[in-house]
Amino acid sequence: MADAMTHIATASFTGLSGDYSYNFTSIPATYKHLRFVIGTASRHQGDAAAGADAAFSLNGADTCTTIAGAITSGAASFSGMGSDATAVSNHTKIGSVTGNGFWDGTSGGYNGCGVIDVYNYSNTTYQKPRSYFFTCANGSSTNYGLELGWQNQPTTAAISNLWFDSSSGTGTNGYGSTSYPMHVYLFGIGLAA
Amino acid sequence: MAITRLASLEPTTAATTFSGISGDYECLYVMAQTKCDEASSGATQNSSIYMIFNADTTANYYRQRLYVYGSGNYGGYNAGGSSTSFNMFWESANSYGSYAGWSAAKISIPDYAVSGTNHACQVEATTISETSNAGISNEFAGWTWGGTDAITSITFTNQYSTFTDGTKFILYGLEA
Repeated sequence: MADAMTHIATASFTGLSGDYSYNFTSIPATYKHLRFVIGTASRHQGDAAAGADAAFSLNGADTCTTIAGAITSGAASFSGMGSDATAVSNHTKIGSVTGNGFWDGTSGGYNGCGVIDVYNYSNTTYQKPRSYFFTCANGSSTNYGLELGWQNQPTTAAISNLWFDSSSGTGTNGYGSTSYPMHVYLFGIGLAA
Repeated sequence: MAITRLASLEPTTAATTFSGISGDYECLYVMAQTKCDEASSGATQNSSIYMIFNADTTANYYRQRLYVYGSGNYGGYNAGGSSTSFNMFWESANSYGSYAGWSAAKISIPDYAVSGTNHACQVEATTISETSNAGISNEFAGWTWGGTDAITSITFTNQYSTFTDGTKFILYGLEA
């Protein structure tokens, strides 16, 4: 059936420490949009006790700009994000709530999840916006977080390569729980125009 | 095709359940359209819609929420502890008076079929329940269910009343 979602690749992260990355290479230009579905992520780069950002990231080859977004963590904490090229650099952070620590399995042991959509990734005329939605309700009052945002990757070239990375930032690196790996599923949506 | 429609429910009772959910998929999506059958205004005018997994009614659910309602009301919220269910809508649309609106939601549950670890899910919900600003809301929420079994059933319960005709829950499976 045309315009359905089609599985392209799956990355599995099982490490509990160290730096990890996974490169989705040679992404076919067959689809209209890309969707990353991220499940059962219970450890992350950030560390709540250390007050570090969780900088698990989806990278492109050039600098992204956050167009708009919102973050909430804990009870009654809320902030908006405006245009901010500095804070997000060249990647989509997953869980940038300082000191909160999305997906911190060391504290609550509860998982988070997330979705990233990359729109019109294969066109060669327009820049490439992304939207993302990450959440964690971790069982501890200091380890709740939700982040909703929109970014723009300013390339006009077709995107054929995106990678997940934990090699920057501070805190406890690693993905996956003690009992189950973290999965990142990549899907293609619809047919290219 | 990687996304498959598994089942649909059109309840007019107070509760409804997807049961015997296949473990053959990587992620579940539920698309919901709801309205509550409210005959009067007041405290029961706008019901919450609750969701539980595997009939677990213990205090085993945790939430972080980002919301906006009416004109200029927005913020973040969590209860700082556990609940006995997911609160899918803070206030669902209702049939009282001339209120014509509906609530709509998308629920994502990745890796629902695994066991041995707890389960995270996300809810995006919108309610246009009244003609006034107060009944208009958008909500994004992350939830964790502390249970570690594979999810095989999902139950939706109306807080105060029954669902009206036209309420619909559709379950999809996303396959890698």
